[in-house]
Amino acid sequence: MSFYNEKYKNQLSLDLTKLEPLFQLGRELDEDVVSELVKTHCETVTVQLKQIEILFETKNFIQVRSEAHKLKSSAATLGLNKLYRMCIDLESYLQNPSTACAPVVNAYITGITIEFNLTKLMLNNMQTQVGA
Amino acid sequence: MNQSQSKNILVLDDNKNDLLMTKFVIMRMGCKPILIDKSAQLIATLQAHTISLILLDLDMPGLSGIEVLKRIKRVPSYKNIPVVMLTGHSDALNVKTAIQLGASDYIVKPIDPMIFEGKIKRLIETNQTITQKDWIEYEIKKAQSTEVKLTYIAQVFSIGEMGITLKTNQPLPREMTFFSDAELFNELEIAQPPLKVESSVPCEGGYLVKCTLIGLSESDLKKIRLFNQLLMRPVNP
Repeated sequence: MSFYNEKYKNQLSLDLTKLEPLFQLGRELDEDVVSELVKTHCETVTVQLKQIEILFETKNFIQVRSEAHKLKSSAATLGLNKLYRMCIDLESYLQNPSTACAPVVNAYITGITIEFNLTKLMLNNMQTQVGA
Repeated sequence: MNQSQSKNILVLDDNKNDLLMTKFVIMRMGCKPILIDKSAQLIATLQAHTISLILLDLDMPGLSGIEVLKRIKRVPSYKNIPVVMLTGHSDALNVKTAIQLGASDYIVKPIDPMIFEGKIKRLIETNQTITQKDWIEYEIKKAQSTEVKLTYIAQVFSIGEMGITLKTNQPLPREMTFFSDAELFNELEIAQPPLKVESSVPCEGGYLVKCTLIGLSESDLKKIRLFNQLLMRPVNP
């Protein structure tokens, strides 16, 4: 079992209670707030993860930290608790970065990528069910 | 009418999801969101719109939120616009700096719609009061700097906490601000209060000129209140 599975086993991947205020906001505005947020989240995080991989290759850990910082906010907005927690921990781990950090950072990036792909599916499934 | 109605709220954040989230909450408040994701767009946006409040992300590439805040506060025509910082949990020190530099408040991301709405509404309403206070100060300064001394025969018709009605032999121009040396104010020990003309209506034997009392202190208002109570006291048989 990978370290992130063990470390984050008690965290919810998708916390639906966090989405309820957003659905409420959408009902009041008569707009599909959740769909728009999910779409933007998926588009931006896909780009951010590619950027993180490039930054990791060049060992630019300060910028990796900055990208993790950005990513955590949209994860939290959509109730992606596990992804949010991973980003916080990566950001915190890179407070004082050095080249020795590389293996752990790599593990975090792998974990974040897997979790992002998983939650993307969950969010899409949820939207299909809500729309049905 | 809701005070936040039709106010422009400017959001500067490089995070698209946060911009989107703020957009929806601002729309629900009945305000108009103006969204930008680069500091370089700020000045042009401030010039193009009348902005009631600015939401500023602390952590941005290029110019940081702190630097942007410093620049806003340096410009006289923008420095009174309330600025609220958007921040992550890890930016506690920067938040402190931002507050010292003149930020009105901060909101921790992820944005909670209820907290966001509450803080923004409160700030918009507070700023409305500040604007009102500025107006009073402006009117007093205007009256103090006037070089024309009017000699006018006027009789106090009625007085309240908000205004006074004078009976005069000719109308006064609307919006004119002047200091009153009416005997009544001497008796009440209120030193020549500034008055602003609201209307002049013809009446029998002259005109009724309604004026607003500007910038009276709480003790002056108490004196007027007491004066009115004494006047209205029933006469003992």
